Amino acid sequence: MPTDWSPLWLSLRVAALGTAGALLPGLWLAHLLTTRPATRRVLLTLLSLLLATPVLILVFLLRRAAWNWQLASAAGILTALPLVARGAFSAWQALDRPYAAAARSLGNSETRIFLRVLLPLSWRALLASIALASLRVLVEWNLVRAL
Amino acid sequence: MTSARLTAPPLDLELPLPAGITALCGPPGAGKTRLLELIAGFAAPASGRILIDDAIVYDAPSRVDLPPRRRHCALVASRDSLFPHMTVRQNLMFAAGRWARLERHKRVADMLERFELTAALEVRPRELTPAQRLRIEVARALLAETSLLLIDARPSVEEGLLRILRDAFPGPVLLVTSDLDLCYSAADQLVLFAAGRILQQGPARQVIEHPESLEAARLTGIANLFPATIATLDPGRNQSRLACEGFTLSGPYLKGRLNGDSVHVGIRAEDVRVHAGEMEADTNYAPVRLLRAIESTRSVRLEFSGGITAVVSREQFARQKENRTWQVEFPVAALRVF
Repeated sequence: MPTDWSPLWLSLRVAALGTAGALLPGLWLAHLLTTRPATRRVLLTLLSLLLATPVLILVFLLRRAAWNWQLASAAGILTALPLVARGAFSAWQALDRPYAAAARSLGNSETRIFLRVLLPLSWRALLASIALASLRVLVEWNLVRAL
Repeated sequence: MTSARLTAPPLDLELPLPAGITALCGPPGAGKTRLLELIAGFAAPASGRILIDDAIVYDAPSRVDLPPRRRHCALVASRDSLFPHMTVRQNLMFAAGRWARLERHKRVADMLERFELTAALEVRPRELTPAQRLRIEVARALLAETSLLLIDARPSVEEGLLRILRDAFPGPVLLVTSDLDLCYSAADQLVLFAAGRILQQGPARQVIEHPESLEAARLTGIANLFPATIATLDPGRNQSRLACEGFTLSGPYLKGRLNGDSVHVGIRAEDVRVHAGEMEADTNYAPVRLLRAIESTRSVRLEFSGGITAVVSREQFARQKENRTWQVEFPVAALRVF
Protein backbone atom coordinates (compact mmCIF):
# COMPACT_ATOMS: atom_id res chain seq x y z
CA MET A 1 0.00 0.00 0.00
CA PRO A 2 1.50 3.35 -0.97
CA THR A 3 2.13 5.70 1.98
CA ASP A 4 -0.07 8.79 2.10
CA TRP A 5 2.31 11.71 2.66
CA SER A 6 -0.34 14.43 2.34
CA PRO A 7 -0.88 15.03 6.11
CA LEU A 8 2.87 15.66 6.49
CA TRP A 9 2.94 18.09 3.56
CA LEU A 10 -0.12 19.85 4.88
CA SER A 11 1.39 20.20 8.37
CA LEU A 12 4.66 21.50 6.96
CA ARG A 13 2.83 23.90 4.68
CA VAL A 14 0.82 25.40 7.56
CA ALA A 15 3.94 25.67 9.74
CA ALA A 16 6.02 27.24 6.96
CA LEU A 17 3.33 29.73 5.91
CA GLY A 18 2.56 30.71 9.49
CA THR A 19 6.22 31.32 10.31
CA ALA A 20 6.93 33.11 7.03
CA GLY A 21 3.98 35.41 7.64
CA ALA A 22 5.17 36.15 11.17
CA LEU A 23 8.73 36.89 10.07
CA LEU A 24 8.45 40.51 8.89
CA PRO A 25 6.00 41.78 11.54
CA GLY A 26 7.97 39.86 14.18
CA LEU A 27 11.28 41.46 13.21
CA TRP A 28 9.60 44.85 13.02
CA LEU A 29 8.19 44.40 16.53
CA ALA A 30 11.64 43.33 17.76
CA HIS A 31 13.12 46.47 16.21
CA LEU A 32 10.51 48.61 18.01
CA LEU A 33 11.27 46.81 21.27
CA THR A 34 15.00 47.43 20.90
CA THR A 35 14.90 51.06 19.83
CA ARG A 36 11.87 52.42 21.73
CA PRO A 37 12.10 51.70 25.44
CA ALA A 38 8.93 53.72 26.07
CA THR A 39 6.62 51.18 24.41
CA ARG A 40 8.62 48.15 25.53
CA ARG A 41 6.53 47.22 28.55
CA VAL A 42 3.17 47.29 26.77
CA LEU A 43 4.47 45.40 23.76
CA LEU A 44 6.14 42.73 25.86
CA THR A 45 2.93 42.21 27.86
CA LEU A 46 0.87 41.85 24.68
CA LEU A 47 3.39 39.40 23.26
CA SER A 48 3.36 37.37 26.48
CA LEU A 49 -0.44 37.20 26.36
CA LEU A 50 -0.24 36.03 22.77
CA LEU A 51 2.36 33.45 23.78
CA ALA A 52 0.03 32.13 26.47
CA THR A 53 -2.92 31.84 24.05
CA PRO A 54 -3.24 28.75 21.85
CA VAL A 55 -4.44 30.86 18.88
CA LEU A 56 -4.65 28.02 16.37
CA ILE A 57 -6.78 25.88 18.66
CA LEU A 58 -9.04 28.81 19.59
CA VAL A 59 -9.62 29.76 15.96
CA PHE A 60 -10.42 26.12 15.16
CA LEU A 61 -12.94 25.92 18.01
CA LEU A 62 -14.58 29.22 17.01
CA ARG A 63 -14.59 28.77 13.23
CA ARG A 64 -14.91 25.01 12.98
CA ALA A 65 -17.35 25.26 10.05
CA ALA A 66 -15.03 27.33 7.83
CA TRP A 67 -11.83 25.53 8.87
CA ASN A 68 -9.27 24.97 6.12
CA TRP A 69 -5.50 25.14 5.82
CA GLN A 70 -5.52 28.78 4.67
CA LEU A 71 -7.29 29.88 7.84
CA ALA A 72 -4.93 27.67 9.85
CA SER A 73 -1.92 29.37 8.27
CA ALA A 74 -3.36 32.80 9.09
CA ALA A 75 -3.86 31.72 12.70
CA GLY A 76 -0.35 30.24 12.56
CA ILE A 77 1.05 33.72 11.96
CA LEU A 78 -0.29 34.85 15.34
CA THR A 79 1.00 31.64 16.92
CA ALA A 80 4.54 32.18 15.60
CA LEU A 81 4.67 35.97 16.09
CA PRO A 82 5.56 36.20 19.81
CA LEU A 83 8.37 33.66 19.51
CA VAL A 84 9.94 35.38 16.50
CA ALA A 85 9.62 38.85 18.04
CA ARG A 86 10.90 37.91 21.49
CA GLY A 87 13.73 35.80 20.10
CA ALA A 88 14.96 38.59 17.83
CA PHE A 89 14.50 41.17 20.60
CA SER A 90 16.66 39.30 23.10
CA ALA A 91 19.36 38.76 20.46
CA TRP A 92 19.40 42.43 19.43
CA GLN A 93 19.12 43.78 22.95
CA ALA A 94 22.37 42.05 23.88
CA LEU A 95 24.06 43.58 20.82
CA ASP A 96 22.56 47.06 21.11
CA ARG A 97 24.73 48.58 23.81
CA PRO A 98 28.19 47.57 22.69
CA TYR A 99 27.89 47.33 18.91
CA ALA A 100 24.86 49.23 17.64
CA ALA A 101 25.64 52.18 19.93
CA ALA A 102 29.25 52.29 18.71
CA ALA A 103 28.08 52.20 15.10
CA ARG A 104 25.58 54.99 15.80
CA SER A 105 28.24 57.21 17.32
CA LEU A 106 30.37 56.57 14.20
CA GLY A 107 27.58 58.24 12.22
CA ASN A 108 25.83 55.26 10.59
CA SER A 109 22.15 55.00 9.73
CA GLU A 110 19.90 52.44 11.41
CA THR A 111 19.51 50.53 8.12
CA ARG A 112 23.26 50.22 7.66
CA ILE A 113 23.68 49.15 11.29
CA PHE A 114 20.95 46.53 10.86
CA LEU A 115 22.38 45.08 7.65
CA ARG A 116 26.09 45.26 8.46
CA VAL A 117 26.19 44.74 12.22
CA LEU A 118 23.02 43.38 13.80
CA LEU A 119 22.05 40.84 11.16
CA PRO A 120 25.49 39.21 10.72
CA LEU A 121 25.93 38.97 14.48
CA SER A 122 22.47 37.62 15.26
CA TRP A 123 21.47 35.32 12.36
CA ARG A 124 22.06 32.15 14.38
CA ALA A 125 19.83 33.36 17.20
CA LEU A 126 17.23 34.47 14.64
CA LEU A 127 17.25 31.06 12.93
CA ALA A 128 16.81 29.38 16.32
CA SER A 129 13.76 31.47 17.18
CA ILE A 130 12.28 30.91 13.72
CA ALA A 131 12.73 27.15 14.15
CA LEU A 132 11.10 27.32 17.55
CA ALA A 133 8.19 29.36 16.17
CA SER A 134 7.49 26.91 13.33
CA LEU A 135 7.67 24.02 15.78
CA ARG A 136 4.99 25.71 17.86
CA VAL A 137 2.69 26.11 14.84
CA LEU A 138 3.32 22.50 13.89
CA VAL A 139 2.48 21.19 17.36
CA GLU A 140 -0.74 23.24 17.60
CA TRP A 141 -1.82 22.24 14.11
CA ASN A 142 -1.35 18.59 14.97
CA LEU A 143 -3.34 19.04 18.18
CA VAL A 144 -6.17 20.52 16.12
CA ARG A 145 -6.05 17.56 13.76
CA ALA A 146 -6.36 15.22 16.73
CA LEU A 147 -9.45 17.05 18.03
CA MET B 1 34.36 75.63 20.33
CA THR B 2 33.19 72.53 22.10
CA SER B 3 31.49 72.74 25.45
CA ALA B 4 28.77 71.17 27.55
CA ARG B 5 26.58 72.93 30.06
CA LEU B 6 23.98 70.59 31.41
CA THR B 7 21.92 69.41 34.31
CA ALA B 8 20.71 65.83 34.54
CA PRO B 9 20.33 65.07 38.24
CA PRO B 10 22.66 64.46 39.95
CA LEU B 11 24.83 66.02 37.23
CA ASP B 12 25.15 69.80 37.08
CA LEU B 13 28.17 71.23 35.31
CA GLU B 14 29.68 73.54 32.77
CA LEU B 15 32.59 72.05 30.90
CA PRO B 16 34.47 73.80 28.09
CA LEU B 17 36.60 71.38 26.08
CA PRO B 18 39.64 72.95 24.42
CA ALA B 19 41.60 71.06 21.75
CA GLY B 20 43.93 68.48 23.25
CA ILE B 21 43.45 65.79 25.85
CA THR B 22 41.21 66.58 28.80
CA ALA B 23 41.26 63.92 31.51
CA LEU B 24 38.18 63.40 33.65
CA CYS B 25 38.94 61.96 37.05
CA GLY B 26 36.49 61.03 39.75
CA PRO B 27 35.46 58.32 42.19
CA PRO B 28 33.27 55.44 40.98
CA GLY B 29 29.63 56.51 40.78
CA ALA B 30 30.47 60.18 40.20
CA GLY B 31 28.60 60.13 36.88
CA LYS B 32 31.54 60.06 34.46
CA THR B 33 30.08 57.47 32.09
CA ARG B 34 26.71 59.22 32.25
CA LEU B 35 28.33 62.50 31.30
CA LEU B 36 29.89 60.90 28.23
CA GLU B 37 26.55 59.33 27.28
CA LEU B 38 24.82 62.70 27.60
CA ILE B 39 27.38 64.39 25.38
CA ALA B 40 27.28 61.57 22.80
CA GLY B 41 23.48 61.65 22.74
CA PHE B 42 22.66 58.27 24.27
CA ALA B 43 20.78 59.94 27.11
CA ALA B 44 19.04 63.30 27.36
CA PRO B 45 19.86 65.89 30.04
CA ALA B 46 17.09 67.75 31.88
CA SER B 47 18.35 71.11 30.68
CA GLY B 48 21.40 72.77 29.22
CA ARG B 49 23.23 73.14 25.95
CA ILE B 50 25.91 71.09 24.24
CA LEU B 51 28.07 72.56 21.49
CA ILE B 52 30.35 70.41 19.38
CA ASP B 53 32.67 72.33 17.10
CA ASP B 54 30.36 75.39 17.18
CA ALA B 55 27.31 73.32 16.22
CA ILE B 56 24.49 73.06 18.71
CA VAL B 57 23.75 69.36 19.19
CA TYR B 58 21.57 69.78 22.26
CA ASP B 59 19.70 72.80 23.50
CA ALA B 60 16.87 72.41 25.96
CA PRO B 61 15.03 75.76 25.41
CA SER B 62 14.87 75.38 21.61
CA ARG B 63 14.38 71.60 21.80
CA VAL B 64 17.35 70.73 19.66
CA ASP B 65 18.42 67.16 20.36
CA LEU B 66 20.43 65.58 17.56
CA PRO B 67 20.64 61.77 17.51
CA PRO B 68 24.09 60.24 18.24
CA ARG B 69 24.85 59.61 14.58
CA ARG B 70 24.53 63.28 13.67
CA ARG B 71 26.62 64.68 16.52
CA HIS B 72 30.08 64.03 15.03
CA CYS B 73 31.09 62.81 18.41
CA ALA B 74 32.59 59.32 18.69
CA LEU B 75 32.26 57.46 21.96
CA VAL B 76 34.76 54.72 22.80
CA ALA B 77 32.79 52.99 25.56
CA SER B 78 34.25 51.16 28.53
CA ARG B 79 33.16 47.88 26.94
CA ASP B 80 34.99 46.58 23.93
CA SER B 81 32.90 47.45 20.86
CA LEU B 82 34.91 46.32 17.84
CA PHE B 83 32.58 44.32 15.60
CA PRO B 84 33.62 40.72 16.29
CA HIS B 85 32.51 39.39 12.88
CA MET B 86 34.79 41.77 10.97
CA THR B 87 38.56 41.85 10.66
CA VAL B 88 40.52 44.88 11.80
CA ARG B 89 40.54 46.21 8.22
CA GLN B 90 36.79 45.69 7.83
CA ASN B 91 36.13 47.44 11.13
CA LEU B 92 38.07 50.46 9.93
CA MET B 93 36.50 50.33 6.46
CA PHE B 94 33.07 50.32 8.06
CA ALA B 95 33.80 53.62 9.78
CA ALA B 96 35.26 55.16 6.61
CA GLY B 97 32.13 54.24 4.64
CA ARG B 98 31.33 57.78 3.52
CA TRP B 99 34.44 58.09 1.33
CA ALA B 100 34.86 56.83 -2.22
CA ARG B 101 36.62 53.47 -2.53
CA LEU B 102 40.13 54.72 -3.31
CA GLU B 103 40.05 57.48 -0.71
CA ARG B 104 38.72 54.98 1.85
CA HIS B 105 41.63 52.61 1.29
CA LYS B 106 44.10 55.47 1.52
CA ARG B 107 42.67 56.77 4.77
CA VAL B 108 42.51 53.33 6.38
CA ALA B 109 46.11 52.56 5.37
CA ASP B 110 47.23 55.91 6.76
CA MET B 111 45.43 55.35 10.05
CA LEU B 112 46.83 51.81 10.39
CA GLU B 113 50.32 53.14 9.99
CA ARG B 114 49.83 55.98 12.46
CA PHE B 115 48.50 53.63 15.12
CA GLU B 116 51.16 50.98 14.38
CA LEU B 117 48.56 48.37 13.50
CA THR B 118 49.69 47.21 10.06
CA ALA B 119 50.59 43.74 11.39
CA ALA B 120 47.08 43.19 12.75
CA LEU B 121 45.29 43.99 9.50
CA GLU B 122 43.58 40.71 8.64
CA VAL B 123 42.92 39.31 12.11
CA ARG B 124 39.72 39.33 14.08
CA PRO B 125 39.55 41.58 17.15
CA ARG B 126 39.38 38.69 19.63
CA GLU B 127 42.89 37.57 18.68
CA LEU B 128 44.38 40.90 19.79
CA THR B 129 45.40 42.26 23.17
CA PRO B 130 43.13 44.78 24.94
CA ALA B 131 45.64 47.57 24.26
CA GLN B 132 45.63 46.80 20.51
CA ARG B 133 41.83 46.61 20.46
CA LEU B 134 41.62 50.01 22.09
CA ARG B 135 44.00 51.44 19.48
CA ILE B 136 41.78 50.08 16.71
CA GLU B 137 38.68 51.53 18.34
CA VAL B 138 40.31 54.93 18.57
CA ALA B 139 41.53 54.69 14.95
CA ARG B 140 38.02 53.66 13.89
CA ALA B 141 36.53 56.66 15.68
CA LEU B 142 38.96 59.04 13.96
CA LEU B 143 38.15 57.54 10.54
CA ALA B 144 34.52 58.51 11.06
CA GLU B 145 35.61 62.17 10.90
CA THR B 146 34.63 62.91 14.45
CA SER B 147 34.85 66.41 15.92
CA LEU B 148 35.03 65.25 19.52
CA LEU B 149 36.39 61.99 20.86
CA LEU B 150 35.12 60.57 24.14
CA ILE B 151 37.02 57.68 25.74
CA ASP B 152 35.46 56.00 28.75
CA ALA B 153 37.53 54.33 31.48
CA ARG B 154 39.72 51.63 29.93
CA PRO B 155 42.53 49.95 31.85
CA SER B 156 44.57 49.68 28.66
CA VAL B 157 44.87 53.41 27.94
CA GLU B 158 48.60 54.09 27.81
CA GLU B 159 50.86 57.01 27.16
CA GLY B 160 51.88 55.77 23.70
CA LEU B 161 48.29 55.77 22.49
CA LEU B 162 47.71 59.31 23.76
CA ARG B 163 50.87 60.51 22.04
CA ILE B 164 49.73 59.07 18.70
CA LEU B 165 46.25 60.45 19.28
CA ARG B 166 47.63 63.92 19.89
CA ASP B 167 49.40 63.83 16.50
CA ALA B 168 46.52 62.26 14.62
CA PHE B 169 43.61 64.29 15.96
CA PRO B 170 43.53 68.07 16.31
CA GLY B 171 40.20 68.28 18.15
CA PRO B 172 39.24 67.84 21.78
CA VAL B 173 39.49 64.45 23.51
CA LEU B 174 37.69 63.75 26.77
CA LEU B 175 39.28 60.80 28.53
CA VAL B 176 37.92 59.15 31.68
CA THR B 177 40.75 57.74 33.74
CA SER B 178 41.79 57.24 37.32
CA ASP B 179 45.49 57.07 36.47
CA LEU B 180 46.97 60.30 37.83
CA ASP B 181 50.44 59.48 36.53
CA LEU B 182 48.99 59.22 33.04
CA CYS B 183 47.16 62.55 33.52
CA TYR B 184 50.38 64.16 34.67
CA SER B 185 52.45 62.89 31.75
CA ALA B 186 49.97 62.95 28.86
CA ALA B 187 46.90 65.10 29.56
CA ASP B 188 46.66 68.82 28.88
CA GLN B 189 43.70 69.56 31.09
CA LEU B 190 42.39 67.76 34.13
CA VAL B 191 38.84 67.89 35.44
CA LEU B 192 38.21 66.58 38.93
CA PHE B 193 34.67 65.35 39.18
CA ALA B 194 32.63 64.06 42.13
CA ALA B 195 28.92 63.48 42.74
CA GLY B 196 27.97 65.05 39.41
CA ARG B 197 29.87 68.29 39.98
CA ILE B 198 33.21 69.65 38.86
CA LEU B 199 35.51 70.21 41.84
CA GLN B 200 38.38 71.74 39.97
CA GLN B 201 39.56 72.08 36.40
CA GLY B 202 42.69 73.44 34.80
CA PRO B 203 46.05 72.42 33.38
CA ALA B 204 46.67 68.83 34.49
CA ARG B 205 49.94 69.38 36.32
CA GLN B 206 48.69 72.44 38.13
CA VAL B 207 45.55 70.66 39.34
CA ILE B 208 47.52 67.65 40.57
CA GLU B 209 50.12 69.79 42.34
CA HIS B 210 47.73 72.35 43.77
CA PRO B 211 44.36 70.86 44.65
CA GLU B 212 42.07 73.59 45.99
CA SER B 213 39.68 71.67 48.19
CA LEU B 214 39.58 68.68 50.49
CA GLU B 215 37.73 66.51 47.94
CA ALA B 216 40.15 67.56 45.21
CA ALA B 217 43.03 66.66 47.51
CA ARG B 218 41.54 63.21 48.10
CA LEU B 219 41.11 62.67 44.35
CA THR B 220 44.65 63.76 43.55
CA GLY B 221 45.97 61.10 45.89
CA ILE B 222 47.05 63.10 48.94
CA ALA B 223 47.13 60.26 51.44
CA ASN B 224 47.49 62.27 54.65
CA LEU B 225 44.61 64.61 55.46
CA PHE B 226 44.17 65.71 59.06
CA PRO B 227 41.58 67.98 60.65
CA ALA B 228 43.30 70.88 62.39
CA THR B 229 42.56 74.10 64.24
CA ILE B 230 44.45 77.31 63.62
CA ALA B 231 46.25 78.09 66.88
CA THR B 232 48.17 81.22 65.87
CA LEU B 233 48.58 83.32 62.76
CA ASP B 234 51.66 85.50 62.27
CA PRO B 235 51.52 87.55 59.07
CA GLY B 236 54.78 89.35 59.98
CA ARG B 237 56.82 86.17 59.85
CA ASN B 238 54.54 84.53 57.27
CA GLN B 239 53.78 81.71 59.67
CA SER B 240 50.91 79.88 61.21
CA ARG B 241 50.63 77.25 63.86
CA LEU B 242 48.12 74.45 63.42
CA ALA B 243 46.95 72.12 66.17
CA CYS B 244 46.24 68.59 64.97
CA GLU B 245 45.28 65.65 67.12
CA GLY B 246 48.51 64.52 68.78
CA PHE B 247 50.91 67.01 67.16
CA THR B 248 51.27 70.63 66.11
CA LEU B 249 52.40 71.90 62.74
CA SER B 250 54.06 75.05 61.66
CA GLY B 251 52.85 76.17 58.28
CA PRO B 252 52.80 79.21 56.02
CA TYR B 253 50.58 82.20 56.85
CA LEU B 254 46.98 81.50 55.83
CA LYS B 255 45.37 84.45 54.13
CA GLY B 256 41.71 85.03 54.88
CA ARG B 257 41.57 82.70 57.88
CA LEU B 258 41.08 83.46 61.55
CA ASN B 259 42.47 82.02 64.74
CA GLY B 260 40.37 79.07 65.82
CA ASP B 261 39.19 78.19 62.29
CA SER B 262 38.84 74.51 61.52
CA VAL B 263 40.82 73.47 58.49
CA HIS B 264 42.32 70.36 56.94
CA VAL B 265 46.03 69.84 56.49
CA GLY B 266 47.24 67.61 53.68
CA ILE B 267 50.61 66.15 52.82
CA ARG B 268 51.54 63.58 50.20
CA ALA B 269 52.81 60.23 51.45
CA GLU B 270 56.00 60.77 49.41
CA ASP B 271 56.70 64.06 51.22
CA VAL B 272 56.50 62.69 54.76
CA ARG B 273 59.98 62.08 56.16
CA VAL B 274 60.54 59.10 58.41
CA HIS B 275 63.12 59.05 61.23
CA ALA B 276 64.22 56.58 63.84
CA GLY B 277 64.42 57.27 67.54
CA GLU B 278 62.27 58.39 70.37
CA MET B 279 61.70 62.05 71.07
CA GLU B 280 59.13 64.38 72.45
CA ALA B 281 56.42 65.57 70.09
CA ASP B 282 57.79 68.75 68.56
CA THR B 283 56.49 71.14 65.93
CA ASN B 284 56.16 69.27 62.64
CA TYR B 285 57.35 66.07 64.27
CA ALA B 286 55.18 63.31 65.68
CA PRO B 287 56.10 60.09 67.44
CA VAL B 288 54.29 57.21 65.77
CA ARG B 289 53.89 53.45 65.87
CA LEU B 290 54.40 51.45 62.68
CA LEU B 291 51.29 49.40 61.95
CA ARG B 292 52.08 47.92 58.58
CA ALA B 293 54.71 48.06 55.84
CA ILE B 294 53.54 47.26 52.33
CA GLU B 295 56.42 46.58 49.97
CA SER B 296 56.16 47.11 46.23
CA THR B 297 58.78 46.79 43.51
CA ARG B 298 60.26 50.26 43.92
CA SER B 299 59.05 51.68 47.21
CA VAL B 300 57.61 50.76 50.58
CA ARG B 301 54.38 52.20 51.92
CA LEU B 302 54.45 52.63 55.69
CA GLU B 303 51.22 52.95 57.60
CA PHE B 304 51.57 54.52 61.04
CA SER B 305 49.28 55.08 63.97
CA GLY B 306 47.08 58.17 63.67
CA GLY B 307 46.31 57.42 60.02
CA ILE B 308 49.68 58.72 58.80
CA THR B 309 51.06 57.17 55.61
CA ALA B 310 54.56 57.57 54.23
CA VAL B 311 56.27 56.20 51.16
CA VAL B 312 60.01 55.55 51.35
CA SER B 313 62.49 53.97 48.99
CA ARG B 314 63.34 50.29 49.48
CA GLU B 315 66.89 51.23 50.45
CA GLN B 316 65.74 53.56 53.18
CA PHE B 317 63.33 50.96 54.49
CA ALA B 318 66.10 48.33 54.52
CA ARG B 319 68.18 50.68 56.72
CA GLN B 320 65.32 51.51 59.05
CA LYS B 321 63.21 48.40 59.30
CA GLU B 322 64.81 47.34 62.59
CA ASN B 323 63.75 50.64 64.22
CA ARG B 324 62.19 50.14 67.62
CA THR B 325 60.62 53.58 67.64
CA TRP B 326 59.57 55.84 64.80
CA GLN B 327 58.82 59.45 64.24
CA VAL B 328 57.59 61.30 61.20
CA GLU B 329 58.41 64.80 60.04
CA PHE B 330 56.09 67.02 58.02
CA PRO B 331 58.26 69.48 56.05
CA VAL B 332 56.71 72.95 56.06
CA ALA B 333 57.07 73.39 52.31
CA ALA B 334 55.05 70.26 51.58
CA LEU B 335 52.08 71.14 53.78
CA ARG B 336 48.81 72.14 52.16
CA VAL B 337 45.90 73.66 54.02
CA PHE B 338 42.30 73.44 52.80
